[in-house]
Amino acid sequence: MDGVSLLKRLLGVLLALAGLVPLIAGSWLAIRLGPSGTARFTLPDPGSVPVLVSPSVLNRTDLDVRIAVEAPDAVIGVGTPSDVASVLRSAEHRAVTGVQLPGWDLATRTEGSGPASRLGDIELWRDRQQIAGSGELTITQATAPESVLIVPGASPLKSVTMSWAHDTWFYQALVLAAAGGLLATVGWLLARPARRPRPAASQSITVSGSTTEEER
Amino acid sequence: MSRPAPRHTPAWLSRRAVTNGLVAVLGLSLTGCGLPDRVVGLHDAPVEKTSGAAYSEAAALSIVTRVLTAADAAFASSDAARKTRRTVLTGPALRSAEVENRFEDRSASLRTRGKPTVLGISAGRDWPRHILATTLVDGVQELHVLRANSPTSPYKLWITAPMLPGASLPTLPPLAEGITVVAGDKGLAASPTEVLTAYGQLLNVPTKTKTSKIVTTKDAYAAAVAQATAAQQKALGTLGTFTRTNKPATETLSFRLADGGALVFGQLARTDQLAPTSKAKRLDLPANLAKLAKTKSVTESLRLNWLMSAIAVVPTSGAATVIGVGEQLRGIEAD
Repeated sequence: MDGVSLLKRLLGVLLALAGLVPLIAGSWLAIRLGPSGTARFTLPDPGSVPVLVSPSVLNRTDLDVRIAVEAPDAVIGVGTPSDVASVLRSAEHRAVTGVQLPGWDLATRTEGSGPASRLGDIELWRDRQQIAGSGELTITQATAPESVLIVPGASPLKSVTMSWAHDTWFYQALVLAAAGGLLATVGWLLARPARRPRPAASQSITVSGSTTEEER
Repeated sequence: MSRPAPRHTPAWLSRRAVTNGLVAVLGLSLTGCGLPDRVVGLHDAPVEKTSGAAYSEAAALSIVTRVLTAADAAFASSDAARKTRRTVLTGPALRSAEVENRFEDRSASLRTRGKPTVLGISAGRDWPRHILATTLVDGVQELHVLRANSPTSPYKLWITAPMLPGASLPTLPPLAEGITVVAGDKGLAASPTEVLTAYGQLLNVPTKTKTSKIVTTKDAYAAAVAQATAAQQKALGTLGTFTRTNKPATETLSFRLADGGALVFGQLARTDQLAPTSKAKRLDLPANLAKLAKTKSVTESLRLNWLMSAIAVVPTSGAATVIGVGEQLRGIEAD
């Protein structure tokens, strides 16, 4: 094997490995997002303190945000950030700070200390939803910026799920997977062992009226 | 002559095709990878504007509907429901409600209140906040002011008063812009408190103030009061005297109008007194009044104490006009 062939095969291996990453990632994303391109991030066990979703998470895209809550008794309130902050004051709460992959979790941080009293009864909400079992609220970006406060009642919250839907994400994931597949294929083709020539049968080549036997 | 056998390489895997493919993949990678913000569409969250109305119209309407429903029930509640009243009423509205049931208009609970319309929402994010709303009650337009003192205290009805026949409400700032409370008499022809106090003095009987530069009595209420006073004095003749005394307004609330003037809400306390003269030993009361006063006649005097919830428009210059008045009898003293 000459140097060029070795380099070619090495390049092929690298390309194949580099292609596998987007292939796997794109396929995984496409499966998780589904054709509707819905990204769901869950906070599995929020506990008995209010959960705050501020504009830094809620209003970072132009997409509607759906917030689904499972709780025996809770209130979802939507209000202006300054109002929500003023009612929450220093009460203990979990602030959603972002989303996490690959776990599809909501990243949170515990802030404040002390109890929050009767937040569910406050009237400064632009929109308010009483939850008994499960419920959801969709926040559009038309009224941004806003904050959402999920206030548990007597029982703790079971889960909070935020979802953003954008069908283009699904197709982008497919393109990523296809690009990875293409890259991996090209790499594999470059890296595959060169075919050894088959032993050729004797053949006659006639040159200038003479016959020469040549083996290839 | 025999030719060399062709190489077994697919056409799509020619050097040129592979080069093109790699360039395409590289291009796709540069577009998608490493640029999640662009793919997801991330951008900075918009900054909150704190200058407009504190709530949306829908949110304010929801609050107004709840408060007015509770307020109607509170007004119609028995005297024992004092604690409940205080959870939904405050200020002048609470004073009007905290009268004995026998002084209340029992037909009020039979009236039908139409769907509220929000006229104004406090601008900014400061407290207390107000919502100005109106409803139509059996053909009478009523104005309502709701007030919340802090983020954690619910809205309560601060005042409600019917508009006078023929009166109109000047233009308020756009709903999204919000309404602002006028401090003192800033930018106004006169102080709102002085306007309502002067209006009361003009209605006094007898009165030392025949006219005022800061408020007129060219309204339906003043005309009706003058007519009723004349009828009362005529009925009493020389056998009795009739006097009316309005106390100065002590609590007013003003909102800036679109033209710079102010829409003023306030309450006056007034006493109507009937007393027999030396020519009459006593005054016999009509049946309905006797029932309220719990006596059929008085020898010294009969004093009816009223609360008058008033709405006035104070311009930037010129005299103010009263556009709404609601009366509530709060007590009778018979001697």
